[in-house]
Amino acid sequence: MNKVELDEQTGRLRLDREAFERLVGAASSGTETGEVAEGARHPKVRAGLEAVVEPVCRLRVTMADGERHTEHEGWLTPRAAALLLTSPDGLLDFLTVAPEFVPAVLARLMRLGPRLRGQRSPVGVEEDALDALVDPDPVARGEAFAAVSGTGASLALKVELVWDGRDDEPDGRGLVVLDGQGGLYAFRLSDGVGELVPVDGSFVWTTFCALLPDEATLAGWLSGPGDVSDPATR
Amino acid sequence: MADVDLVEHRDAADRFVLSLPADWQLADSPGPAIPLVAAEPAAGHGGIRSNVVVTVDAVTMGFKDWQLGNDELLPGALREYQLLDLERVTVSGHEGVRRLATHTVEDRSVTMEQWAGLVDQQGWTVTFTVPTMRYAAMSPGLRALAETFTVIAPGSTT
Repeated sequence: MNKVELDEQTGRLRLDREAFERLVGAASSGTETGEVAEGARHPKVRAGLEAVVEPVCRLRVTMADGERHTEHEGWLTPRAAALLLTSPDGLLDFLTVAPEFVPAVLARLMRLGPRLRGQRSPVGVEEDALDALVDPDPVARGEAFAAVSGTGASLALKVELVWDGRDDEPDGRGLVVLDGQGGLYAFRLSDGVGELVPVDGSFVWTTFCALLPDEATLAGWLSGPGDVSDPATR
Repeated sequence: MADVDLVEHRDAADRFVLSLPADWQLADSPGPAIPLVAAEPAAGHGGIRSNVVVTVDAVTMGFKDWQLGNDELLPGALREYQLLDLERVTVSGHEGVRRLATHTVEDRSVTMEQWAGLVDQQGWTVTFTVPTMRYAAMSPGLRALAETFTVIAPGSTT
């Protein structure tokens, strides 16, 4: 077993992928996770692992700039949001928060804050090009950023919330934001035409807040497939 | 909040007006520097109630320095404070700012939307605090409420 470090105060675990997979394996099989790693006895870690094993929806966050490509994951239940964040050194931080704190975590990840406003214009973009902005291949990313140079963006953030919809078909919603010297831009598809629209921190924060189902909706999802509804309708 | 009935409030000294949802409850003013405190009715299941606080200070500096000072103070005053946006706005016809931030109150995530303006060296601040999970739905309404804030007579802060 690789080293697992616990921050006792916050319940944050620092570990590598192999250690995380072993913990999830133990939690899935009903094994006492504290036997796998001492830090997993922490109540927050237990709650987080329960969310990983039986989530009602999953969160995927991809961040990329010219040099780095980072993926973060999350699992939500009505009671807990378990987040697996990738550190620059390649290790993982596993933390558990109340779902209402997920917007704050997203804001912290992208260092959301006041940005350039003023006269800015939408920039046309193919929807397919959005994936290239967060492609693991730096060459593909470089070309994609060059194609949207009119935004002045140096960072791309893609947030996806996915869940099993009706008939267990995957469903979800998300957001793509670009950030850089030219301020914030968000992708919008209008009548089949994609464009990056100038936005501000308020727009991004509001969208983060709206992205998540509220507590009642999350709880409703636990009631069974017949009660599954798009959280956008809340 | 688009279809919410609003009621116009004035402070005891007739210094300003601010419209709020009719069912929001006024609390006793702690003093002239905090002339209005109001909150939505208790939901019955606990948690944070959306609320608004109006404050007024005598300001001896310019608008920009006044607000830079606030930007320095807030991270130390509010737990897990994160500034999210700053927007130049007009408050009661004067230069103002709208500040959006999140912080933690009683282990709950809240979103703070604060409108501040300097009127005749009186610094007026209208601060809404709402549960983060309800902010998206309330955001347009908060802006509409803030835009009703009007200083009638700056008066004294003491």
